[in-house]
Amino acid sequence: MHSRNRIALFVFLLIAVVILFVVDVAIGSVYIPFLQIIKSIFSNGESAMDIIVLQSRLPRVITAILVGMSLPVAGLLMQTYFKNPIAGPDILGITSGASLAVAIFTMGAGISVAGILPIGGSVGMIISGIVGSMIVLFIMLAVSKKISDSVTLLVFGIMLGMAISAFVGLLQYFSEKEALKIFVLWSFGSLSGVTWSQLYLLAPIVIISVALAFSTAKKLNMLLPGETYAKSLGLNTGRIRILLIGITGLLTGAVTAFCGPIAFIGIAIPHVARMLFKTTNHFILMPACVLCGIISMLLCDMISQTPGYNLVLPINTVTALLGAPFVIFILMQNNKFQRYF
Amino acid sequence: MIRIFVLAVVTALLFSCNPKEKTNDAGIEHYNKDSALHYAKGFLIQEYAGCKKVIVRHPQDTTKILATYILIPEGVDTPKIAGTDIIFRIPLKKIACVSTTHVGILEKLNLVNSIVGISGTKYIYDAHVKELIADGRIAELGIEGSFDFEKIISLQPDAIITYQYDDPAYDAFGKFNAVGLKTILNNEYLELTPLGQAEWIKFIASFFDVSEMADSVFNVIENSYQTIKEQAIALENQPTVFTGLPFKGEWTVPGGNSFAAIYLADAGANYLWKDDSRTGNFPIAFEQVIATALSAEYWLHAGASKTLNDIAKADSRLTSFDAWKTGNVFNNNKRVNENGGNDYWESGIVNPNLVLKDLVKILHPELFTSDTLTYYTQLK
Repeated sequence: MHSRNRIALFVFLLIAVVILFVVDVAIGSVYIPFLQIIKSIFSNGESAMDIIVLQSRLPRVITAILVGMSLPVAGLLMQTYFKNPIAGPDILGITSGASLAVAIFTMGAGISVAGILPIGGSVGMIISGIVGSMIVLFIMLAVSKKISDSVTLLVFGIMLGMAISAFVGLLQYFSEKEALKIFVLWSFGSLSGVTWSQLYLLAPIVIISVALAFSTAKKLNMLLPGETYAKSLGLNTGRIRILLIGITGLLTGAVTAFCGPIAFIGIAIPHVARMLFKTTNHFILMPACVLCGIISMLLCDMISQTPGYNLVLPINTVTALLGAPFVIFILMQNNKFQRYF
Repeated sequence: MIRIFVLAVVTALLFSCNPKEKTNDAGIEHYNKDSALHYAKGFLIQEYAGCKKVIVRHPQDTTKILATYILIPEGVDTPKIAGTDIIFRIPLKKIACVSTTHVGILEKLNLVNSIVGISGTKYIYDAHVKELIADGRIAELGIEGSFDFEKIISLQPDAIITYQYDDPAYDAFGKFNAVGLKTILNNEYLELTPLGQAEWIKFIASFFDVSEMADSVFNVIENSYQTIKEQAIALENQPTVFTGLPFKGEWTVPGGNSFAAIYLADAGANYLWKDDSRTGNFPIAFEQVIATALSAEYWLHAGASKTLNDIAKADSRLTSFDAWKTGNVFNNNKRVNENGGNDYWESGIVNPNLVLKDLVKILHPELFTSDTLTYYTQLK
């Protein structure tokens, strides 16, 4: 693709992000006229409309943007590193690790959910999510020192994820209905539960991790022809592995902890970026993933808001409903994608 | 061929059902009357010569018969009954319960000494029952979904009081029957009115042959409830009320025809979703609640919150609500044991008059000035 066309495409995506941002803020179950929204943004937040715009919609839309940035970037790192079109943030068992920790928190033995939730529940769940994904992350780091082959490491990650899911299943089996419901609700994913005070924590984690990911672009390009080739170019493959797993863990852990496990975006968006820009160059793919991810999350969020109805659909069901057909399409076209790895 | 087979099966079923029904009724004769029930729709008690027939049906679809019990006092000959009717020799002496609400009913009838096992003993609030648990006279049956069947069998209860599970994964009902344990389906939670739920005291009482006592206990509850209700709904000021606490941005509110909404209507409240026709809870967008309830006067049942700060910690946006600012937030967790077991769900079921009195006292502080709240507490 000609570089001028690429620039045009980037500009187009950027404009789409801005338009969708505005539209998403304007959409919700309560109808608010556009001028009122502008007024509310600059208000002191006293009326119901102001509170909806400032406390509910803006944090929700910003959360959608952060999720849209982080999961596709994490997915791109994993797909390149593992040379596998279906690798994604959840493949390494990081999402499962967060799920297990949240499951222990909500349904754990001896914890009376009625007594502790939702008091401090959201904070507790966030901490458990981050701790859970970090523990799995450390296991993966330790194992990655022993296993040099990336495919073996991928299989290990999948197996670890399955084993952890089995523990989650065990907890679900022994838990009471109320606790089970809380866990199931969490597992559906939600963007509307994130408040400003939580965004102050989530945003820096995501932005720093994405910036770190950008800094690995050159190394990822070197990895494309294979680890042996990268080594011959003088790349320290051991260090880059730790870096990539670390970034993925941070991005996935933070997003999963705050919003629940959000499916498919991480796997699907890097493919969209490759298809649009027809390149394997990570200097282009990284910003492309960020923009495409933001656009897709904003779109999914708008659908989940079901304008005109009183309810909000769980974000995970929306991303899965849109994402699943796409992943199937990728699998059908697998031969074509193989050339990227 | 398949069609013929289906037709044959359907015909066989049609013909096999009717005679069974006849044998059922042929065994017990001289139908006298239905016991008077005023509010509960989920069961019927029919009196026959020498025995009683208790029919459990779905309170919201009374054509669905869920179980039929024949209760025969000791010393009376057992009639020959075919079909699915379950025969009990009454009064029962040893009983197991799978819900603390059942314990509440048994407490009210002074029957806690017949309890040999409870599922979720740590959630029990009643001091006497807790003593019996501590003494080992009441055993723990394990948690819902994974009952300790061997323990239950070893206790040899005359029956297990259980309730209907819509989720087959939790349906211990079938498993109890399979191991030869008789179950009593106590579906009081499906009733949509507070008095309808409390009237299940008559259902449990029939198995212990204390129906007269249950009738008189219920009459007191009913009179008290109706008197309080009449006073509350006659008041001109009907304050606006909303309930619940969001979880991850999802707010669940009771429908306008739900149990919770009926309590609020009877307490003289202007419940903000009273015009919704649903009988159960439904999820609603966070911003919809802000738009509707921001200036509401009272906020009830705010999750498990014990203080106003608990609400702020759960979601900082909740501090924008007028009710939070004015401190008009009340929760039904005044009587909670060390494990989170709440007496509201235990004895509150059979004390709807006390629950209503609490609600009226909260919403209309000018009434019942000298009384203190029983189940509710104001969050500070």
